[in-house]
Amino acid sequence: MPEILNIDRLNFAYQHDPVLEDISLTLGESEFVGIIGPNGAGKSTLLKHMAGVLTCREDRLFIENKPLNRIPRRRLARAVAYLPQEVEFVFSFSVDEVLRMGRYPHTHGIRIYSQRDEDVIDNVSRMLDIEAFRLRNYSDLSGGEKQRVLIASALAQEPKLILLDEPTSALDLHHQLGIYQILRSQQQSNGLTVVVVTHDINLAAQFCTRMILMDHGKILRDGPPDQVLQFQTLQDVFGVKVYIDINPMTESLYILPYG
Amino acid sequence: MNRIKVISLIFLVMLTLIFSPFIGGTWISPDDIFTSDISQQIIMDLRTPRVIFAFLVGFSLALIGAVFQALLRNDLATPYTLGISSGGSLGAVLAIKSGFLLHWFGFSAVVIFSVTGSLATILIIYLIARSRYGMAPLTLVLTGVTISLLFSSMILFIHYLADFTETYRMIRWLMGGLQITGWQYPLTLLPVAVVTFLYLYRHAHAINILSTGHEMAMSKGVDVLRLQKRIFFGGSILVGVVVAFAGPIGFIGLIIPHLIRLLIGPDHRILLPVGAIVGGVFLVWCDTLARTMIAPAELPVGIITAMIGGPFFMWLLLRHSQKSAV
Repeated sequence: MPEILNIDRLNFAYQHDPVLEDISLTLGESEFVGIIGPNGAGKSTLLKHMAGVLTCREDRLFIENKPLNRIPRRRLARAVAYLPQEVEFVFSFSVDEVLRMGRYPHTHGIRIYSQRDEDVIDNVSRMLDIEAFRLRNYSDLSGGEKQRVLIASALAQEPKLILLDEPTSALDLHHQLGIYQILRSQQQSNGLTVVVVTHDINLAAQFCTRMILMDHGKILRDGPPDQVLQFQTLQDVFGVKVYIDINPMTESLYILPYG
Repeated sequence: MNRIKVISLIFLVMLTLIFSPFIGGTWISPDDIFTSDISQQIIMDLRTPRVIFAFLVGFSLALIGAVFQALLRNDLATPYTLGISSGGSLGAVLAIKSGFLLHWFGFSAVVIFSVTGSLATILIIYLIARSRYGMAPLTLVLTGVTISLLFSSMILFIHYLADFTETYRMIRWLMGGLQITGWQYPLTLLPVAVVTFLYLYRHAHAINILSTGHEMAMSKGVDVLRLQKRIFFGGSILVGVVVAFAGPIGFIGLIIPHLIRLLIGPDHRILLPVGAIVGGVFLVWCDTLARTMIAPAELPVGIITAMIGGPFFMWLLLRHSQKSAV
């Protein structure tokens, strides 16, 4: 399996207290990875490092064996797409303009978009079912529509790796499932590697091929959902009692906290 | 932007640049140029350079207003939000108070002191606001506002020490004005404005993305740190030169980008050229008003732009508060 991202003993602190400690992991092609863990475990910080939004001075992260810090921004954006937890637009861009931003790493200077750029944008709009409102203002859309537009814009970068920080936290059940289904179809048909940071362990368990449990800046467990979602580990990490069972409809694990 | 809009914009610029020199304290008809030496001199040495100068100042202020609003992610930002103009003003006021009769490449002490003040301010802001992850918009705004307040108090202090003539000159300078003779100012401003515009225009698409936030912009492949730095320095230097030549003329940098965004949307690839051109045309007509309203005397053009800009700004705030109330 070809390697996309390799992290070798990453340490990081915003000020003095370490946020990430000795993180090592390797992501291959066509993986669907869910990063879970309590608040403040360092999940988002790790994702930001993978996206190159946060950087450390040493070369600890490698994209296809090249040190991430030394890859020019545009080239990095052609390999890795990242969706922050909150995106706030100050100006009212149309959906089309937001989609075009996803083509920026493929353009040069002021150049007008090529036919290929337009084709890619048409294609991702079709996939995410946003064709109907491409001319509307982004700020007028509902939460679910906005999230789909942002994902479409990220996919327009044609990345090998897409990183999403709590992509479904503001969405209803229907849209939560929809987002995960889109990501899975991209993972399975195009070999895209997907990494989601999420608090929704059940959705993650259903879609992820691999889960990473973090706590206090360290990786505690890394493996298929049934190896990570273990009774004792979860109770220790989250400090609540949990009930774990198998959903007969999907044959994936689900957990219920109780107290 | 369809073809009709482009053509009407070009037409508007031509009309403005060709006609406004003939309007003034006394109307000069176009055939007077060929019959009267004095008329020719007034048109060629006084009014035409002044009209070009006004156009370039308005062009620069609207351009910088638009990019600073994107850089600071704040649609109420102006070219003066970062406090560069107060540094420039402090320099000018100091020059007036000290009474230096310095001339350097044909520029007066006021211009030289003002440019120096602006450059020093740019450096101070940069040193305070920079960090490993770029310049945070909020830090930049806070730094700018603090520096403005500090320099304003220093300007007041110098005012307090100054005599009546000096005070009058200082206040007159702070109102902003475009009274120039000859081609030196427009020909100095022209290359600075054109180079800054071309640079910013080349990065218009990246500026679109920058306005959506650091993290988003980085993930889309924008070299945020470098772009920020270049917008900041390029824009600030242009503002410094404009303020040194024309004083802090207000409101153009605020209202023109807003107006254009309302009319044709926020895409900087259109907003920057159209906004800059409309800014130039707007200031030419404001200055024409300033030259003619109380002729043979003149009003400071800053008063006119503020009189038109103030009510517009209030309407904008009203619209904002209504929108957030819904």
